[in-house]
Amino acid sequence: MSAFLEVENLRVSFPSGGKAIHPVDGVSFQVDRGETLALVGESGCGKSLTSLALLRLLPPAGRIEPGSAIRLGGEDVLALEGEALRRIRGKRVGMVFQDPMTSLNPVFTVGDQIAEGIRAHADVSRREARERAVALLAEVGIPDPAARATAYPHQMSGGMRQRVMIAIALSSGPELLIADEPTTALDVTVQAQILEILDRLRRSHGLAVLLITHDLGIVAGRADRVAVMYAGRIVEAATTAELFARPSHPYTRGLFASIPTLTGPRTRLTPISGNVPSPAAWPTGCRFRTRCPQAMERCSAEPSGVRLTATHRSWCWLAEEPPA
Amino acid sequence: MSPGLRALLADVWRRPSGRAGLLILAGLVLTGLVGPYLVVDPFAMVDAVGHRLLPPGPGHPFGTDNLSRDILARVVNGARISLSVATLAVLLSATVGTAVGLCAGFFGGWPDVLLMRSVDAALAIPRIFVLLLLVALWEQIPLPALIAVLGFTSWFGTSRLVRAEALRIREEPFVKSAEALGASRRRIIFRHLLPNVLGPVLVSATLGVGDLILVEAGLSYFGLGMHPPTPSWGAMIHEMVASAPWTYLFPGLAIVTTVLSVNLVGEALRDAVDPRNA
Repeated sequence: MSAFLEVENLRVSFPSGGKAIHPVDGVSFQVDRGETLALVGESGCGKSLTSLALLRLLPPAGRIEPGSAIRLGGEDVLALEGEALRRIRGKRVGMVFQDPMTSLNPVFTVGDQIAEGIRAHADVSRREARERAVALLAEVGIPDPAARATAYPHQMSGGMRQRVMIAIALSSGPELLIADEPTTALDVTVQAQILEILDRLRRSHGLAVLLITHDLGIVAGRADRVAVMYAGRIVEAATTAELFARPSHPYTRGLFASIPTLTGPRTRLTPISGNVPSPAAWPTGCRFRTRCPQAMERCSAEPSGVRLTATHRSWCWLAEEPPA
Repeated sequence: MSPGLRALLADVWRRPSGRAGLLILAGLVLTGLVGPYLVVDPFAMVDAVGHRLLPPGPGHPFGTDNLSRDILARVVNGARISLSVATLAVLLSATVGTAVGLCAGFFGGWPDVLLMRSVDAALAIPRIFVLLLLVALWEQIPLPALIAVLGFTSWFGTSRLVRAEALRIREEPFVKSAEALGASRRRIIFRHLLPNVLGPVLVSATLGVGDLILVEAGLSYFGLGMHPPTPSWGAMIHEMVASAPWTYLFPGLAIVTTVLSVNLVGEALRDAVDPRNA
């Protein structure tokens, strides 16, 4: 039994100064129906490009390298072209983007835009599309949906617009929902509501959800599994419970140390020093070793990935042979 | 679109210069629409020697010309001709300019290069020569041909404007999001790009009306556009130059008033469309 979405050794290249750079460099993961996988990492680690690559929406210069595989319900996404490719976008996979302020067309009502999504993939009358749009608005928790359907995006708050975006992403009944930083542009209280809606939809529709975020804080309780991404690769993958209980990779521990907590001793937040290196100069071996407080000689060799449990894997030499 | 348009007009109306322009323009349009039914026949020559070149006064508020025709009647009929020629030509040029600009901006690559370098070349040729050349193809240019010539020689600026806007809007997240939902190219062009470039196109079209009224008047003044006895304002000035002052003063004032009002509306629209003035 294979998972609904399977990504294997995904590599994305861009031409840069005469040679190819690889901002996504060998990423593998799976998401099954009814589960949420969180892809976590700093800006520039390649998580958004990964999500765009899944729907073949990379900028024109970007290429998916041979050897990569993306399978959606057993269908080879990389072999699709033209109309067939257009049909998986929206129909099998819905996508919610980061900025609800600019992700809606300013000149049409939100009801129109949801109806447009419905009619893009289903042969239904305007009237019927309209009715379904109102039902979708109700489903994402918008009060008085029939009236709100006639509102323009600028008449709605950020949280309401993000709900509309989710309604649009759901409009054609997809099986996978990709949410790329869906709460980053929103207030904390609204963030929780949006995550709650995503979680409810996952359960009621049996959706596979790929939640992309830089914020480990929103992952707890919302995701079943977490993949931590750094410099174009996954450095640690585990169930959420395992990752929060026993983070193995120094990068993951660094991310935890930079989250403020309300409980426990009041300590200073420790940021991870430095920035993600540029894809033009990924370090050899372990890519985190240039910023890692525990870097050692061995790290100049590529970590092979250690299975700590059946569901917990870490690409760090320390996990393999803890320091004496 | 229509609520956006209504909001835009309301915004123009709030601005004093926009309101003045809209009022004058509305008056001119009304004059062009119903005026001709209210005045005497603009072609009628009263033919009494005593009625030639009468100064403005009772019976002939704008006076009469050297063929004893009523100048008020001719100026009023001229409003219909000048406004409709300019408006139709602008519709044509806005349509062509928008289509070319959208193609260049959306498809990019060689269509963009081909279209935009052609526009550069076309803009390098002084417009007056092109107009003189084209207009000279006819002994007396028919009205539809004049409209076509004016329209097809004035879309270059619009196409550049639309291309730039299309390039910008293409990168907007809502277009990306539509692509991610499986929107076809046609849908992206007509639902996402076109409605969002209409604001700037409307501004340039409005200013274009004023411009084309001047060009038509200029051509007619040189005897190359509308021909006597057609009561076009430019043709009237052409016909009456070196005659009594009122024979060319009133058509001249009509041109100035129209162009002024159109420009007032156009500039108010431009401010209304510009989000920095929101």
